[in-house]
Amino acid sequence: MISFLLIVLLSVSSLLAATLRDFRRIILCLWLSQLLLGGLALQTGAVFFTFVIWMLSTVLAGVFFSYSLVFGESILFEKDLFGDSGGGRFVGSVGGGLLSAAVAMTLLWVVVGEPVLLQTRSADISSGTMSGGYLQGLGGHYFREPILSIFLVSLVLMVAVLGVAVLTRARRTPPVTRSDVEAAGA
Amino acid sequence: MIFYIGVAVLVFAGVLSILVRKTLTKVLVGVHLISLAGSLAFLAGVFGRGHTMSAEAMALLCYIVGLAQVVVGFSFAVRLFYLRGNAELREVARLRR
Repeated sequence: MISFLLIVLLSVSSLLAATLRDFRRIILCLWLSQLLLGGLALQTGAVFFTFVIWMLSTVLAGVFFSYSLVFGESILFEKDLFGDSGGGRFVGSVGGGLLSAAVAMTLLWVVVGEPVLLQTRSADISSGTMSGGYLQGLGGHYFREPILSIFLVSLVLMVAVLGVAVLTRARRTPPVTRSDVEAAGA
Repeated sequence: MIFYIGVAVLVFAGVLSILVRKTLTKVLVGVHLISLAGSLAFLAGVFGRGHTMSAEAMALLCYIVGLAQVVVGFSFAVRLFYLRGNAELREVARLRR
């Protein structure tokens, strides 16, 4: 049942991401899609995979938003699928809110509603050394993993590349005048 | 079955986005949707047939696809700034003449 719900929401948000025109909504739908995919992965017990998917989804949402700014796409307010009228905007807002609420509730159900799977998994991998809650113990275990450290360093590098992309964004230069040319030695 | 329908929907959305969109970032969105379909197919294998492919390897694959998207976008941004600067230099040369 929960897998069915996750896949239906994943399909809806990915189709919205493919058809919407406003870039901020596209990024939001993509982010929701990847969060839902992480929820599906969490159901199989692949906590590390889920962790990587959720981190990547957040970083890539930031990357896409920065690139849309760099390429000047997010400043274009094109006509949207729902229309630009007040009613269309209302339908779009309510639809987006409902989709986000459904995603949040489903993810909450996956994380909180089925704790037996996580408990078994974390008990297996930490071999009884946990003292706090099982999710905290699970997080501590994965932070001690060398492969996760490599992933974290790589993600920091990815964010650094993104920062360079944002910093080297072209500024609007003033037009070249005749006095500029003469000053340059013409 | 529902997993494979989900994979088909994601691939359809990705290909639609790549073919219909004209801007670079929206093509990147299509590539991203197809990589999501690949991840969902991996999960379908885990759920449906009990395949024991390493989730760490799949996570690495997802990471590499994401990094490739960042690098492609960054290289296109650099190319854009180069072309913009080049156009401004041509303008200066035209004013000189």
